[in-house]
Amino acid sequence: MPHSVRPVSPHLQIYKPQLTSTLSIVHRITGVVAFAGSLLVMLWLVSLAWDASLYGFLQRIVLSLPVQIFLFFWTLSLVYHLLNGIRHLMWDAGKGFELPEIYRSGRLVLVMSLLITAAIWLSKTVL
Amino acid sequence: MSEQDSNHPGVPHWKAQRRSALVLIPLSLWVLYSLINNIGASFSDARDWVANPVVAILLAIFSSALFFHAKLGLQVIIEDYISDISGRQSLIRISNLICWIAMLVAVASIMRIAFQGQF
Repeated sequence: MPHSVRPVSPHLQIYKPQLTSTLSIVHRITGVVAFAGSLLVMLWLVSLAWDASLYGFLQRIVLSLPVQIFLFFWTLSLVYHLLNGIRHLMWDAGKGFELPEIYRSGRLVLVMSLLITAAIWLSKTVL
Repeated sequence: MSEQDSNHPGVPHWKAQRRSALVLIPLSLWVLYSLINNIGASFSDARDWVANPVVAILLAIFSSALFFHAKLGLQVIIEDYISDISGRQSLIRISNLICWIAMLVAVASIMRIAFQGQF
């Protein structure tokens, strides 16, 4: 196996979980969840454009509890990925690289993700 | 990073990933808020919302940027975790195809709604 001698990505089972590494892998996981949920949005657009009965079918699925829970986590994933993405953009600009800053921004991303997700879902019931 | 390194094929990928991210930051917050609040809307209400020209244009930009950004991100994930070269390349091709199709289908649907089924 010629590729076995080449450097590979650090794997999760080798790393001791820390806030930094956990937020990093969560960035990837939330990216994939955000993508999966967006395919559902695409299907929603297809039904609106072409098929009212498909819209009714999707409506019933979307209002079911499991899909509501998925949509909540889709929202949380997109918001987290967005906020942590801003953190990455700051790093790309060379800012916030000191270890205490990295931990502070990481905690901020977690708290803000929950707050913004809660605000989006509460706006539905309150406004 | 030396001057030579900026010719690496990874550089356009890196820049495209960040540029699409910048577009998606404001748009995805707006889309999330709007979609969550559209849950349970009637067919005609939801259609009217998408048919609004400003909404249609922003949704089309959002869909394009999102599936383009997803294509780039999925490629990196596949490259990192699939060590078998040929398997990796076929998976990337499949994932690229899914993202391009999703982008086209989303934009085509938005356009059809915006033009009120005239084509």
